[in-house]
Amino acid sequence: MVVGRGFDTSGLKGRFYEPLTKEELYKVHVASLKVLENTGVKVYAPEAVDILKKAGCDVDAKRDTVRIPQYLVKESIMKSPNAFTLCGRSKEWDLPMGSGKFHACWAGGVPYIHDLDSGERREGTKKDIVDTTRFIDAMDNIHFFMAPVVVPTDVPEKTIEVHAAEAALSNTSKHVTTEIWSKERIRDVIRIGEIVAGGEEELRKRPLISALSQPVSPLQHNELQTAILLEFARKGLPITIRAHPISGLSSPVTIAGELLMVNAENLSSLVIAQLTNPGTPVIYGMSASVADMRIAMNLSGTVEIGLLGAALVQMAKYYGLPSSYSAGIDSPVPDAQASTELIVSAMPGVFAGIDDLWLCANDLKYTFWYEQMLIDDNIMAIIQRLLKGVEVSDETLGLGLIDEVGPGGGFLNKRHTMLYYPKEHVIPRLFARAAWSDWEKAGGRDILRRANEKAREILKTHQPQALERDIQDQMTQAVKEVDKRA
Amino acid sequence: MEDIFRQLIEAVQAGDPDLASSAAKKTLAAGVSPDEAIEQGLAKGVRIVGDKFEKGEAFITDLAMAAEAMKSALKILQPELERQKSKSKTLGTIVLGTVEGDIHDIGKNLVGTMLTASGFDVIDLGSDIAANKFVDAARKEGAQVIGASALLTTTRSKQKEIIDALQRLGLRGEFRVIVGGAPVSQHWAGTIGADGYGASAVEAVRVVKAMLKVNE
Repeated sequence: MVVGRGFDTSGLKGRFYEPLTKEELYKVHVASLKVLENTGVKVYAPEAVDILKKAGCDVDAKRDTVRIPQYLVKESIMKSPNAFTLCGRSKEWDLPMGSGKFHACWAGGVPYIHDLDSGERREGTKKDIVDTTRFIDAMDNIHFFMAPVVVPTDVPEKTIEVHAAEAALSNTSKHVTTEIWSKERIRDVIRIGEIVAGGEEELRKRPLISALSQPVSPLQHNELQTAILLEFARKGLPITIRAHPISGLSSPVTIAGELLMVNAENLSSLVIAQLTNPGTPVIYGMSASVADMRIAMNLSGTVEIGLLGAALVQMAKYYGLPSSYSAGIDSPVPDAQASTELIVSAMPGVFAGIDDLWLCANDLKYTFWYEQMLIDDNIMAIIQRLLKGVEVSDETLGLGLIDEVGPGGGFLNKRHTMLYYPKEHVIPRLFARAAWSDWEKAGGRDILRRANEKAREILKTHQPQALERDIQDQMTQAVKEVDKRA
Repeated sequence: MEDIFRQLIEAVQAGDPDLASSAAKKTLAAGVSPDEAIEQGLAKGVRIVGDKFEKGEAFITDLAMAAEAMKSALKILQPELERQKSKSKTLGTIVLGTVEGDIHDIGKNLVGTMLTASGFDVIDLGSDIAANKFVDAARKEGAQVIGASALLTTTRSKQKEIIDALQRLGLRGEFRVIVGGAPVSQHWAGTIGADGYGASAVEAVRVVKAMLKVNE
């Protein structure tokens, strides 16, 4: 939509920015082992405590503080696969994790949406989760997303996750990761995935869905997040582990200290997952934020998140695990601040070689804007161009061509130019590049208004690849049953 | 005397618990009444840091450390306060927690810090707290205000359960209820019949002060 299908949809190889040295990575690793072995973690899930105890962890008398010996952490890292695939309904959108390729994921899960027509911030609806999914399906540079993008308030509160999974899998061929809010719904969400994949074994082989499981900072595992971890691990389905401390509030305020907290928490989740089912595909991630101590606000669109993100990617690579973190926007509206924030928080991680960059988590003050997604899609196109790098060959050097044109000649009317312009140059279609007078003649609209118009057009026209009728029916039936039972 | 008060103020401003407790000891040794030490010393220090915070000149962490320093001085003054039977005066008591099914406690913790630093007595129940536990705690502590936080659209209805529980027990008039969290708005607060809504920790303090008619 933005640049055409210019890039490989399965992703492009990352390039490198590494803020930490090998010695520093080792230091964080050793410190994390010490935290887990000496301080320990609280695990408020008896089933997981039993698993940890049986494996050799030290569990205190109250049966919730677990101290994890170093060898268990190391074994769990060894058991974790280095690479696996997040699948889409369409194989075109199969995403290799751990391949060094870059992917962008829309994080979502926000309570509000900025209405394209009224221009007002309002609560989400079921129609919104269908529309936002269709919209993501049309984005060339956003590889997958988390359902629901917006939390709907017009479906039963207890079954939102199942409605979200249905809307997601019906309206895109891209991979869907799910946010789950109650223990009771974990199996129901997996069931929806199994219907579309064609069965339990089929879903394991081609995981169309995955889940996120978040340790609670500092150093805790609550019942729900642990239940998600256990259930997805048992089924052999991919999980993104995402610690989410806020610097200075639930972790040390320093970048190194926050990284240590993230690492220790992630590793403890990893131990639980690998003990439950060795070989469970895990993405090592974080939804960490920092705080603006002047106003007591947590932030994700800062340069410190970029730094921490790059360090996190290095840490994941150190363990041979696929990586993921959330870049973000703290501005309340899509403006110059917003795009700057996205870029400074995203770029360092991208150039550290992240597998899976999450956009939007809690962006724009918990509000989804179609306009911002379009801008982000453009930004991701630009970033992918950087990843594609410079191709140097006899053809691209154009040595013969230069000789042919000679001093004082021109290149416009050459086949080489016509052939290579679209291959070498990215066109962020949302950007205004024309002369002042032309821009003025076209209405003199800024990027936000152009994006608004483009977004309406996409919503009016884009149709995702439809599901087979009987699968759609089975899914609708399953959702009805869950609604009845809940 | 002035010198002793100044030391208390400075210890709170510096957010230094050790300095604050040694200044408190000096206060007692000099025979100054603990009430006066609080009013002329500790409370003034907190107010100075609070004012700076409002102006964007101090950070929430300065405020948190000022509260720590104040607490450490109060610990020293407590036995004397009890002996003189004058209870240390706070602006009011607030029972605070994140609602059932929700584990997000950062916002709630910030509100707690701000309220403590502003001179309120804060009873923090923690996170994943059932409606009846809010009510029980508020009764037991003789609180005036119940504060309930929710970060998820799926858990905010638990805020209403607190109000429903109060109504059921015929206690709705006894406590003010303030709500907050990402999916919570002024409109939502109105819908569920809450008494107030704070969009930020700073606003929460303002709202609670207005509720309890605290003037500054």
